Amino acid sequence: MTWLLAALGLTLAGAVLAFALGSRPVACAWMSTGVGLVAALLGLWPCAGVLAGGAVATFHAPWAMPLGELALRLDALSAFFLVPVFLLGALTALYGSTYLAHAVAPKNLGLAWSAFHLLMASMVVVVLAADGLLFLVAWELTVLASAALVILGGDDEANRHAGWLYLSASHLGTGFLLVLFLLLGRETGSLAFGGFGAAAGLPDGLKGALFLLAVVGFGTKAGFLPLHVWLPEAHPAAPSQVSALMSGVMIKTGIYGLVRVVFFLGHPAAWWGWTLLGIGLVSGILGVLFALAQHDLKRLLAYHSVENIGIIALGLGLGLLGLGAGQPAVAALGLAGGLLHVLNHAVFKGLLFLGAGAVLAETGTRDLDRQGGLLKRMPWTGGTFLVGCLSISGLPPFNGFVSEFLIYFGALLAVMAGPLPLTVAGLLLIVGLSLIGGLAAACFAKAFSVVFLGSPRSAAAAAAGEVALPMRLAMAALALLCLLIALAAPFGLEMLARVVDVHPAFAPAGASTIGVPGPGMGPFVPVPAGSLRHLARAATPFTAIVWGSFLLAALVGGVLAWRRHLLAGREVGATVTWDCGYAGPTARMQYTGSSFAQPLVELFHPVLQTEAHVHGIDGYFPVRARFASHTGDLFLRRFFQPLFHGIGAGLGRLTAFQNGVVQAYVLYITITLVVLLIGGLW
Amino acid sequence: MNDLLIILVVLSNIRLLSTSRIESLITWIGVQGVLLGLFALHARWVHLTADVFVVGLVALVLKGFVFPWLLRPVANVVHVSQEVDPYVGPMGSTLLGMVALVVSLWLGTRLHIPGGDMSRLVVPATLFSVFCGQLLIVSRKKALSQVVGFLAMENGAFLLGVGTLYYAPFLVEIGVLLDMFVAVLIWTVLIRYLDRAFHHIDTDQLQHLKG
Repeated sequence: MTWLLAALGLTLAGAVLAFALGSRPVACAWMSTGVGLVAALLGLWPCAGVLAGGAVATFHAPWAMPLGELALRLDALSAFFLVPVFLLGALTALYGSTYLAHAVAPKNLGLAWSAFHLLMASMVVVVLAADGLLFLVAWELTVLASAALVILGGDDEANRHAGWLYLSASHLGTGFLLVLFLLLGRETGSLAFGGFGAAAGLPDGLKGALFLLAVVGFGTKAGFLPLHVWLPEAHPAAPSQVSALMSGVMIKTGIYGLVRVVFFLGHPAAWWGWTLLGIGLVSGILGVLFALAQHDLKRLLAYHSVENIGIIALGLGLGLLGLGAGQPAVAALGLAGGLLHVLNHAVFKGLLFLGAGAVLAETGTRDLDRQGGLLKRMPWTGGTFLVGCLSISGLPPFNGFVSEFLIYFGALLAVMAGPLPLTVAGLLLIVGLSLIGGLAAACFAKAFSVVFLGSPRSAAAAAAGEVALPMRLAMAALALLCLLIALAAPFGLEMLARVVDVHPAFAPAGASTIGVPGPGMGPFVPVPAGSLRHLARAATPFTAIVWGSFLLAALVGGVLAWRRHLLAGREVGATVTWDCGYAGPTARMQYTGSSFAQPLVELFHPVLQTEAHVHGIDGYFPVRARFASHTGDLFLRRFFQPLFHGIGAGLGRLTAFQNGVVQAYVLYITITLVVLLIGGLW
Repeated sequence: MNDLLIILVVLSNIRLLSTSRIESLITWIGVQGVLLGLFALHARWVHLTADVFVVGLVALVLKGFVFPWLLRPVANVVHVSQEVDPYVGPMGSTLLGMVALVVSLWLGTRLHIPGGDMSRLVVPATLFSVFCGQLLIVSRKKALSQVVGFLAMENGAFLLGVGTLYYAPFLVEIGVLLDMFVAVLIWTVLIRYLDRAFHHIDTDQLQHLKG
């Protein structure tokens, strides 16, 4: 815990220093990078210790706050969520050392770094907090710091609007959390997490209400549909390094909170799992569909965050269903898959946002249809971005595959071995997850090909060059992690099991192994206690994946070598892509992002409601024609805007009471007092 | 004797409700002030100490003579002699006052206040004064009527303070009286300015200032 406190203190000191160094951008950037890297080293060490089976660490300090206590606790669940916080924090700080100066006005640079460190520190506290009040305070700090960064990300109306939307959404969510923690505190006697475990014994109705409060409150931060509306606005508006941190890590604090509270609540009712499963399916499928229809690279990635949060919710939902139905194997695999996807999504989505930031820095636009041909100009960015695309599409040998595989595995077990409801859930999950995976692959085929392949569609794209070394280093490190996590998966199962074991249903009671009857009524054989017993089933396929990956790598290497061999000594020509034999091709004849995705967008038109603005050629002579399409957020337009408009109109009627007549105001007071007096003395 | 004074205070309140002339309002709030001052002195006559005596005397002088003396010139300067178009007229106010009296008497039986050796009329009379003051503020439009309404409310509070506590802290009582004095001073100035700026002192017109 000392190391973690040191990391925390260092990050806070960084926040103060960055503010002080605001007028010296270079010094500020390097100081911040140093702080980020050292804090990550300090912080990751104890996390690794706890994940490797070390003891739970705690920290208590008096706090002059009523009902609150300055209590921190590092158990396997916290440690697991801290890993991406520190990893991505360090790498985005490294990336930002050269990037942030592009994205933020010079006068705001110190402030932006300061908010960045504050965001890091508050996220660390959110994950470590062992007290409801401390948790909420840190939670609010996270919101404020990241909202400041969203607003600082640009100097225009859109950023302020995005920041405002984000702040309002977050505060609405926090309102639910406040009620949640107050209820938990009332029922268990204090706001300390240590006592919240008693909530498992509460009546079912109350537990259900607490669960729903947690889903809405934490889901707003995590981006569950339809509470996701702030995400596609805030992520594109923030500086890319912050988008990476927000999308990769910050929205996961919502998942952390949800998991933590669900673990407190003990044995889940069946409808909890169904709720999460439903949310996961809707978020996953609609998230990827909306992503498909976007033209803005970062907006596209933001919708993919909604999709991946959906996948995580699918895993967690399956886990809860398994627990509820008394199928620990399904439960362990579902929970482990969902949790592992948290880490994986942090890594590849961080990578993708950093890649998008590199593209943005070089070409100056997030518009997909003004990019093109960047792979030749930015090989590092392009290569690492490709790794990110493959990972997020859930393709082996990268990490996205591993976590989705665990979820699939759990779902298969549910179908094969479970009772009927579990079978239905498993089937739904398999179908939904396949659809999500396929659409995600289509979407990233679009994103990667339009941005990096073909020929440049704008002068800025043609003039682009590779980004600076720190940015490349950060992206390369994340790309490497995408591969490493997948390869290390067979060995990481034990750590993952420790995280799942935080749930009381799996908590090993003392012994680390239990005896089960051997095959054919043989002697008892020892097997690991807790969830590892079930997760260990995945070890064999994981090992197969590792070997398959090596095989695949050898195959790709072989094909490349063969191609090089065949091309050796020949002249290699270059021409525009997709010229279709036309004599005077231009880059504008290439497929654009919209045309690439058009068949799918058309298919899902009832959901997406893409608006097309066509000015076609309808006379005899050639005239100027134009086409534009726009896919707004369905839920923002059709649900939240009417809702808040209605609330506003309803409240507007109340202004009749505030009529400016002094006599009326005194009358209100009189009536209130008289009613209170008579009511009190009745 | 105490009860007689209290009943007279109640009657003076009804008189305040039933008039629409500003001059008369000011006169009667003065009469009420004299009654209260007498009540303060008489109620504690047995335990009369220097500080109680000072409080009673100051109250009598301030409420009975100084306030009317301050307010009357204002009424003359701003040329307002009557409530022309109140929200609730004298007749309606008086009827509402009767209702308020019944409610106060009922509340008085429910509300038990320590210091029970005082007259049982103190609590209902206090509540009635407060209600009357609020009724004046709510139903009248001229700023001067509302000042009188406020003074009537304060008189109710004073009645309770004197009537129920033998040893009400001297500082509190004298402090409140001082506050009242300053408040009335400020109002006289404020109303003159109001008249100078808008050429009327109708508080209902203030809503035009709303942005």
